[in-house]
Amino acid sequence: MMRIVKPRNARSKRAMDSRAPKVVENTKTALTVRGSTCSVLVQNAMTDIAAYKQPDIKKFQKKNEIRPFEDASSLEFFSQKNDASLIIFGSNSKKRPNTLTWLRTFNYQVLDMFELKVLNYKAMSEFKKLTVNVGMKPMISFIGPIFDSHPHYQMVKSMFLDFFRGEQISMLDLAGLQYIISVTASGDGNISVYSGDTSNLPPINFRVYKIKTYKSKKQDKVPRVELEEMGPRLDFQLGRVREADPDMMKQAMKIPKELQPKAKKNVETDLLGDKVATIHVGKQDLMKLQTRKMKGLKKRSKDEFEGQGGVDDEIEDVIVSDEEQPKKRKRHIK
Amino acid sequence: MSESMKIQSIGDRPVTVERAIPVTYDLGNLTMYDTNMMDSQIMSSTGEEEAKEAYLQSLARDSAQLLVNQILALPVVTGGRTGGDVNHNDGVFVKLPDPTTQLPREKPVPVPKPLTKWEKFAKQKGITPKARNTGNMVYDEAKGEWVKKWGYKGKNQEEPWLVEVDEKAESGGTAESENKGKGKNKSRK
Repeated sequence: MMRIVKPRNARSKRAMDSRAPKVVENTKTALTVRGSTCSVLVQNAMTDIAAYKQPDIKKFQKKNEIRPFEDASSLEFFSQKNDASLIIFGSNSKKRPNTLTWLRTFNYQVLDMFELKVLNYKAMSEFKKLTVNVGMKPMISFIGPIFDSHPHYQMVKSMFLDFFRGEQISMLDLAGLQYIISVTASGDGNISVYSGDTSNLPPINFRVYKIKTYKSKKQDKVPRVELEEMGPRLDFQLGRVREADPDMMKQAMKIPKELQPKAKKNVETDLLGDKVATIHVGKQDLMKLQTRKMKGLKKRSKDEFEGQGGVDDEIEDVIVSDEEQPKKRKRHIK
Repeated sequence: MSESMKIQSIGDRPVTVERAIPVTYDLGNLTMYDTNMMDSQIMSSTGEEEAKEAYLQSLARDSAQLLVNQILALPVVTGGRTGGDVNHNDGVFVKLPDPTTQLPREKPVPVPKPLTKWEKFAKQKGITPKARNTGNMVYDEAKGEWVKKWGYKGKNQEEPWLVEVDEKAESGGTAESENKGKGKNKSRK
């Protein structure tokens, strides 16, 4: 559908290269799209969520007639045009009130998606004004056994992590630990996927707190962490889910060769924890070994040995006996 | 309670968290996964919003404490970030490990571009690109920084750090530099 654009100048070429498939990918950009029936509550909820995705998010203002579960092609088009692989679509209907549809794309095609109905919503503006700098990496915690056992909740966990984790960094400034996003779901996780009864599924609680650290009297190096809620406060009910096509998911989970950890050959760690490696020295022909130039092999008088200790004596003897016999050379002893 | 008293009492609170099932971490993503059972009574009660929120906040606080404890255990790197970011030259940095949770990519793994006709030919013939000039800078191990090979304050102009004792000079003779340019002790015949 998209025509292939040939870059006319260096700037457009850079833009194209930035969007091309890469070994190490860019941080995923997100879009918030409003459905034709999107209510004010849903709009505000999306704005609040978007605040934690800044600057990697674009918010659409216009309303669009889209039904993601029936036909997601226009969302795929938006994804391609904006180079965004995460989309939140807001809608509201009698059957599905205040619903956010979260979806991910792979190669600009829908990978997986699910619906989250907003049960409770308390806006950020209703909390005490606590802001975090744009682009700060959040700490994220997923609490509840169901996130490990139920495949739909695992999808929610994966999507939330993808959405909120932000830029990949290797060095973290400790001052950058500013807030935590806590996603919880109670329930024992023994809920069958195939029961089809979505009303039994436990709600997902989404909370964001600002972190304050206090010096602890108990331990010098570790501070006491205290939280203050900064919003938004959201409770979601999981609705319809469209799981990823297994082939597409397999493609998406592929790790490029450049990033796969390279096994170091020849190096091992022995029982004591020491790093041991084998140096491969070529075969030495002992008969042709040049010993005339090795000072250590010269026979020395007994007086010289006195201070050195017994071990040296023995080694000296062994070497001398090996080499001197076949050669039968008269050595001048200094 | 006054503010200072409150802060004092916070310092007394524990910094460790006990969990029945040990928690898993993905420090590359600053994430933790807690599979311990939650208190279903508090969670399912419909009327008591405050109690539920307080419970959720306490769970979140424990998670944050655990994460902070883990992060502080990571190796510390002081000094600037090696990205040339001028604004972040001081501050305590912690080296984060690679993320462990695998998330789907947004685009497929790049396919290596097919070799051009010249590249194929060069590969077959074993033609390698010419060794380009590596520029003026060279790394000086002793100093631990980059110095110029030639030019102003270049490495080729530095004085030798070890000079043999010149007997004539040591015995109080005039310095060589003093005698330069002077036509001293030259007898004309």
